[in-house]
Amino acid sequence: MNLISKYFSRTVAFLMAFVFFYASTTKFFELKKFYYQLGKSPLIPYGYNEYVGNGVLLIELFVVYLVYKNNIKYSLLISFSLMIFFSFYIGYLMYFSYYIPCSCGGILGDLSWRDHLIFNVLLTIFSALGYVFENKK
Amino acid sequence: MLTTVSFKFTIRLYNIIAVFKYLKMKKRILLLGLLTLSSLILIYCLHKICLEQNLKVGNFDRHLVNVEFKKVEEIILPIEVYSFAGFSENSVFLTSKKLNEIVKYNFKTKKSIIKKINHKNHNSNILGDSLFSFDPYFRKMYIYDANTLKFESETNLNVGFDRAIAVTKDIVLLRSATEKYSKTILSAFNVKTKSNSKLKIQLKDSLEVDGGLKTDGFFVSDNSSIIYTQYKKGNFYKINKALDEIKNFSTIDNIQNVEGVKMSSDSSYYYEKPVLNANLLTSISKDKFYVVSFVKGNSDKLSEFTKYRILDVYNLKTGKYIESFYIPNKGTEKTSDFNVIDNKIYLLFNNSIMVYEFNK
Repeated sequence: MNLISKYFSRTVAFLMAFVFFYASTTKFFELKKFYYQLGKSPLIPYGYNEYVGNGVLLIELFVVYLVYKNNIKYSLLISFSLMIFFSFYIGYLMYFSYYIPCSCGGILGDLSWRDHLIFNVLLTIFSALGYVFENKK
Repeated sequence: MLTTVSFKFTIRLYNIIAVFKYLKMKKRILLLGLLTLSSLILIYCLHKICLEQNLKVGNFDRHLVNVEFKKVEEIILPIEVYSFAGFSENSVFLTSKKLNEIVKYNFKTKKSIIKKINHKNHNSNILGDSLFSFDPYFRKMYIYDANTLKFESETNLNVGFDRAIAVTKDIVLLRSATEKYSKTILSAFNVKTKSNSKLKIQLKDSLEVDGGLKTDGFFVSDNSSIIYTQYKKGNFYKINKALDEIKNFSTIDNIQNVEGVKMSSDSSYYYEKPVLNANLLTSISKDKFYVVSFVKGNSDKLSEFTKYRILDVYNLKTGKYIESFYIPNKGTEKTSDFNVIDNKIYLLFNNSIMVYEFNK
């Protein structure tokens, strides 16, 4: 248990920081495309795509900052919140949407939606376990 | 003695720590549960908030029927196409995605011809051995030989228009604009005299000052009549080929209001926010009018409605609604255009046409 709390949580936090850093920088370099894709999302109110886009980028970078500051517990908690939301979001789009917008960049943008969902669910589980077993004295 | 007490104390201390850890863990699991629930609630709220911007929802009930589709063939086209440009007895004509190519596929020889054109094929229809193509940007009509796709002639229509259909070889029906483009009117262009005249028959909301945005639609025709279906309103008009009689019918959604048309500083008109279509694709066959509707009815299941295209069927003589049914996708791809000929339905998907027989 101690080993888990010592290494697992930290590893997951670093993994999440890497994923969010990668995702946010690829989005940042294609910012207009990112806003455009979000604008097509069936779950974003009309005209709010840029605010939502900026919010997502800031939260993702905030997780990276928390990991950098060694605040593993809160980085995992926010990662979990983001990932569980993204998972439900993809699930919703796959089931209800006319059009599935992809606002991810790089490799993530090339994943199929089923694979994307699996990837997100796995990261959600990892961040949940990491948060539960995180035990910084 | 002291060792035993110390040992028991240590055990108890470990138990207390374990319980403490367990309680802490339980608290964290509870927090994760609450966050999960919050995400679900957020998605649900966004779904409710955004539903109206994503879908037109009407207060009506469809008579949904089950239709059996039997796949007849899949036609693979040489390029990706956007829409059907017309059908002749043995062939189908298609417009490429950039609108600058016309593809002809012959059902008998199973061969395709691609014709590059130096304009855009916005509207087109087949009459006899000719394909009539219209480009509102150049304000011109182009005629191609329907057999070889060889260019035959071009005619300057001299008027601002956005939809057109060749009624006969000499008469073209136009959805044109008044001067200053503030209103839309129906007019007829005579190819022989090269003159354009406003028709007595007009759309009921034709003279609304909106730059023609609210009344925008598209023409389809069969041997006896022309149908003009409005994109954003629940209306379709039946026009006879003599162009002196027009009948107005409503689609079941009955949408009559299109909001958000504004005039910009240069006096052109625009939508201040995206307006969803009510109807988009249509076809006529055997006195039946088929229209792909984008308006969800009360009884339509949201997941089905968003995943498939729904066809509403009307009696073309009376304009009365008959029934509705879903049409097949190709995988998850929905058809970009369709046409019904007798008991066959032709569904267009990027670079292929799926042909089905159906029992309606």
